[in-house]
Amino acid sequence: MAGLPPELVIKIIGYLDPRSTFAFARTCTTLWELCTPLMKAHATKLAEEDANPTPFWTMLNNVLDNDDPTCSWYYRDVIGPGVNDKVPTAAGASGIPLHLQEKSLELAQRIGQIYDVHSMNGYLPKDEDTKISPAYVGLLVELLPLMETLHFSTNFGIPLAALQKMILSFGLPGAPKPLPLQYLKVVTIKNSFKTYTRETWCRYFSYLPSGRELCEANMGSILEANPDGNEYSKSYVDILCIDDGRIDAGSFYLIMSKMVALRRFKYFDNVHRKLSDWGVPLQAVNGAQAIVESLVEFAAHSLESLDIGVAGQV
Amino acid sequence: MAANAQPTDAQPKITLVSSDNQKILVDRDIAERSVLLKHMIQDFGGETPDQDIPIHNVNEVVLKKVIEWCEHHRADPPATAEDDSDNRKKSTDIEEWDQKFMQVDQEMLFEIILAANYLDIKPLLDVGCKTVANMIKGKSPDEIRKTFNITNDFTPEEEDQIRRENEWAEDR
Repeated sequence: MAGLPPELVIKIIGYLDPRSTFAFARTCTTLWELCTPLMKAHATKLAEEDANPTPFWTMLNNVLDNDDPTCSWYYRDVIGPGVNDKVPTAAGASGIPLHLQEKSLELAQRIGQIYDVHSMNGYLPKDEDTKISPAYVGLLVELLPLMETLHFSTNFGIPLAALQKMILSFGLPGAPKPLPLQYLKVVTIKNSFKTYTRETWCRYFSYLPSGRELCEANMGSILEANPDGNEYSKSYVDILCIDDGRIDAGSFYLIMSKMVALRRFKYFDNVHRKLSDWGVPLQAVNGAQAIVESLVEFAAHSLESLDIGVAGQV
Repeated sequence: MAANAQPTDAQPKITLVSSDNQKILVDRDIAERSVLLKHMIQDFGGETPDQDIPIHNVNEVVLKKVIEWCEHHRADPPATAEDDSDNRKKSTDIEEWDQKFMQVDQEMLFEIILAANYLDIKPLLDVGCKTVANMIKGKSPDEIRKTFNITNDFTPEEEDQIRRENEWAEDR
């Protein structure tokens, strides 16, 4: 690499995405200097996109009206998220303006028609002029088959975070109803995700069909794995080897978020290496991977034509 | 010493001389995949030159490798300036044959890139640069350093500052 003239290094950098450009730039001072102009260009471009958001409803309709099932991929992958894109604070049932309630209902009905689910309601961003990235809209549409009701009650940033919180919040106390994952229809997003306890995670993962089999194969007694009245729960943390069962909720959230991020940004092949880089213990990586695989296995039933698929098919 | 580039009989031939003084006989149309050689031939009045053409910056092994690429792509349309700008669309897709062609050790890969740059063979240069870009993508700075044997000359303070100032790029 040192033998290449600067113009060739710059040509190579031109093929990199912002994240890889940044990683490459951080390797040494010479490359940092070469990469800096491109880094600035990336930042400027993303800032411009943020300054010119397309109204949420227009983008959503574009996706829903498009016959191509990969339309949402286009929205997410080609345009990409902005620097500061945010889904606005919603919108509990009481706070949502009437005209948006109507739009929400209309959307829910359209979702129901498209995905053959019976949507009861939908709470969506309350201000259509608020910045929202096309990337988020693309992701939202991909996730629609998993949802019957959406409750947005927090600010969240990039679409990945939305996905993570949807997954991670399932089964929480206060959720409308903790359903088995295979019948998942309700996703609640709340702003308390950072305080989830280990028991919360246990409860959630106990619903994974593959996890259930794993539990039965490894535990002497189902009751033994059901200390808090929620069958299988404790055993899952142990069986999945999440840091010997001693991991705290914050660390687990981090692992899960990285796992999901890696999958969605097509870095799945590097997942073990990446997580090791981030200081995650191998046992925890294996546990988190097992969980994500189970989620993907479930999602594949609902999203056969979408890109939340099995490894290698993203 | 004539090398085994195996030119076809019907084609006019050109003799290239590598930096290590080895002669390689190639078909003119293959040589003309290189814009540098094409211009040199034009300088001979458009006639196929009967004298050897020295390639000072490329040794025999690399030159043969470059010729192998040119032979495979001899029927490709010539690259245009428009192609050059369009190709900057960040796609790092590489044709299967080219991928296999680029499965060489790192030293050879960079030699090919340098040769393609010197000989002005843009499509080969693109493939080479994309190959390197693909080796970078998805890796951490540490992994990139190991892959390309780069010495980290940042101070820990500088690294911290850079990371803080560019958090936006981390999840892109």
